[in-house]
Amino acid sequence: MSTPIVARSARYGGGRMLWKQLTANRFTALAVACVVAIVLLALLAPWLAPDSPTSVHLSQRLSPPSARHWFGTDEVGRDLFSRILYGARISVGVGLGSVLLAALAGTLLGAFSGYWGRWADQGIMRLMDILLSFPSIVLAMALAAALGPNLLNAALAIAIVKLPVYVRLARAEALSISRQLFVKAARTFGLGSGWIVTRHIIPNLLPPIVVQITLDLGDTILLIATLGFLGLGAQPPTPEWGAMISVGWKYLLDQWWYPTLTGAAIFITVMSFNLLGDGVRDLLDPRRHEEGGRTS
Amino acid sequence: MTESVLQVEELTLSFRTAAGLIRVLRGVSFDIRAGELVGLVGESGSGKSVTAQAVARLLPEETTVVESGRILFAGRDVCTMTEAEMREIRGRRIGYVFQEPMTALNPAMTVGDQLMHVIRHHHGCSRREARQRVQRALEEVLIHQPDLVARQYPFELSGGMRQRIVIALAMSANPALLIADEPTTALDVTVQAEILKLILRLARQHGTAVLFITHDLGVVSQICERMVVLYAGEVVERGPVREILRHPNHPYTRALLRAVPDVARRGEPLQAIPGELPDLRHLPPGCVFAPRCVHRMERCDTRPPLRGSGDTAVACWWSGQEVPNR
Amino acid sequence: MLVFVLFGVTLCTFFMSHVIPGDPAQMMAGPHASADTIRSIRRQLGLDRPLWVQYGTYLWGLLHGDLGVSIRTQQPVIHDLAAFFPATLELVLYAFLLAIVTGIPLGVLAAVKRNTVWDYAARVVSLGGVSVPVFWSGLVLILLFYARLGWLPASGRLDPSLPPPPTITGLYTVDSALTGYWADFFNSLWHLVLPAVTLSYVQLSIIVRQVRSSMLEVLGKEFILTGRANGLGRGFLIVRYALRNALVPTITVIGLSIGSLLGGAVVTETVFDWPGMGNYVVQSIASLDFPAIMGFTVVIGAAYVLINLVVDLLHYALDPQIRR
Repeated sequence: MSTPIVARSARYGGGRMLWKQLTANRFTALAVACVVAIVLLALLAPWLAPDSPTSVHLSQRLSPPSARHWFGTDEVGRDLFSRILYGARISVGVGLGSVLLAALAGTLLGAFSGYWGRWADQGIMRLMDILLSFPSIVLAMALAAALGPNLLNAALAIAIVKLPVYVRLARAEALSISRQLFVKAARTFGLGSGWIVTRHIIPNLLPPIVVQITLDLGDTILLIATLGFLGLGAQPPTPEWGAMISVGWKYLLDQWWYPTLTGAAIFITVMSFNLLGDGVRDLLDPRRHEEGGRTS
Repeated sequence: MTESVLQVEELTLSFRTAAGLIRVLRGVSFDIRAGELVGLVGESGSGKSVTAQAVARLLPEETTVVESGRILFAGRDVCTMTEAEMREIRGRRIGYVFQEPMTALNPAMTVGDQLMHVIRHHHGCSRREARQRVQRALEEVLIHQPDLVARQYPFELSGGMRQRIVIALAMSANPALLIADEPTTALDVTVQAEILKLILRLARQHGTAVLFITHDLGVVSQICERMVVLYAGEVVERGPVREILRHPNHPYTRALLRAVPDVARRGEPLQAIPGELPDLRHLPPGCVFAPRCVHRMERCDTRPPLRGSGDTAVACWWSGQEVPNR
Repeated sequence: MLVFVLFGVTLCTFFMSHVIPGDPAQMMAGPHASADTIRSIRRQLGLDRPLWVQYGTYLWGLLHGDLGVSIRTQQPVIHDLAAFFPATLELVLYAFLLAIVTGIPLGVLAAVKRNTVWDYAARVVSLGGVSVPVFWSGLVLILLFYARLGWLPASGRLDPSLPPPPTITGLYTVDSALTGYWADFFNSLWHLVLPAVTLSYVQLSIIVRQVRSSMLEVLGKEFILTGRANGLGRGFLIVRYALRNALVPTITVIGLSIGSLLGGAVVTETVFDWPGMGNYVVQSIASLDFPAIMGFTVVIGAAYVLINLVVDLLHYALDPQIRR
């Protein structure tokens, strides 16, 4: 934990180097490609989608995949392909927002907790212990139910569930950094604690936090879909994947493509993000250098 | 002349890496006679441990390529044996002591149990008999309360104690050859001396030949009869310890000697060897030591053969001039 | 710790559920109830009293094993949960066993045969497990094994035509075996296959990942080399030396992954119409039945804390460094 600051920033530094290393591993390169494709599809959904995700065509309800409706249509004749494309916006967008919220709040809480210590630290850490002592889905469910079932609250609930990791990460880092010489020096120069936290602690925290964010993205998207499926997230007719499957479940046996293709979209998206997260972690984890033959 | 326990003949060995094959040993030859203590000397990265592990065939099979040469143990080539045959030899005929006693023992098992497994594997005896043998093995390595120690886990023992246990494991089947891979490097100076004495005593007592790997010429001078100097995967000099210490022929050996406080001649200042080990992927075309050598000549751009008579040999153009035909 | 955690969580959910709109009295009374009816229900539920009094009452009840009355079923929540608990326990237990008996060998195999087809297969399998939505893997299995092949049942614990076995533990497979209801035994086992496989997959992947990485770490340690140098066999070294040591960190991860098992049970029960607590809570969510939702959360939280207590004990047993 007491890695020299310079060495660390050098290790993470250089966006182009990072990109090169990321694409060096075949699996990670694939993940990068998939994630880029998914993000592009999500961003360009309004132009790519053949139809509006909410326009109803009752005459064409539950039609199988065809040239006109690539993935078929749902129970009121909406084009499924369009809905899944728009769903990517929701999943990726809300997922990212949720993780960023958790990261931002967690980093601030953790940094100040570690830096100030005493009762604030105690209180914050005990609260995090409580959050950690519940299975994440169950806690997210309870929170989402308490807040009231809608997409925004689901995102908020997930952000709360994801909070402890960031608080702990930030706190540990803040603790070790605040003991280091240059922080003490800064303090003797009479620089305020706010200055130290924002100028020294938070910049050093960024790399591990970024890794954690990429690691959490897949899981967050999965949680959003799960809450949606359980009726605790986005509500129909919002084209959210989990909610779509929840409705499409009724048509599982006769119109199997409806829930199956929607679920496949979740699976592929989550897997791509997880693969990317693994790749980024392996890249930035110093332990990855374990390999290579010893010569003596 | 007694027969050789171990003969390494022109061993050339490579590791398969992401960057292609890297040749870590080139034409390494030496032998060890029954009951003899031979020191294998070199800096870290010179290929000492690789040689030792190649003898017991402990290198990872997937990434190791024996390009040429033989390793004859009791007349049979270790490289061509099956894994089953090898298992008969490891531990039973060749004992092995590692550098790091902290990690060389299973942390989740009492030392008694670890000894027990190995002893029962070697002797196929009953639990009860094995327990007695464990006791004896611990007494052999001068552990005073064998009952107590047998029930302890490695983390409860000091480094010196652990190394005694590792030695007890290695000696438990009374092997013909003991490979000691820097067994004292990780220990305190006072403990080092005890462990050295212990190895020496056990070897004498059981007539065990020892291949002693070290970077410390002081240690070699204390316990070994002959020594082999390895540099960048090649034998640069070998011969009786006393002769080499008195009359080092290879500039590298000389440099090594000057870097050791105990052995350095009085009055001469201690000297570090300038430069560093060459990159094994980009070796100089001639003598491997040439880039660091103070006696470098034009001729050193071609590879010097290992020349000599009897036990003594050196691979150097310069010393060949100076000491012709020894 | 347990008390502390329960206290904290009830506090969080309680206040959140009462500060945020969504009136349980309104839910109970129905959309067309008069303001008077709602008011009387509010009084009956104690909703008109100050929040902290309500919370105090709830905590007091909790200490006595009273989780309140379900708005939906009008039954004490603790009774409802007790009735649904055995089904959940049975499902989770089988899924857990399945994950352990397949996950550990698979992880060991992947580590021992590193960078071979086995390793890649294990990695793909485990990557899939942490990425797949439980409801979707369940869906695919239902489509394949129930709809297409017709091999396995896709809902419930038992065929409706069979009478359930006499209740001893509430676990159908155990009760039927104990009482000799063999038809029930095989039938309930049959019904367990798809949900247990679905549920175990997530945990399986976590276990495979963990076992693989800790095995790789341990196999690189010097004492494995010592074992080899002393002539010990490969199988013995892998199991008694490497796995034994790799289990220490693995146990912790398995304990934590039980969280995903408990959470996954909620979804799995919904998907397979399994009459357990998860199914119950999902129905409670649909009717904003907060006493039921909170009761469920408290019970799961308590179970999770207890499980991790057991994990600590196991740790103690496995790691001599902690024991001494």
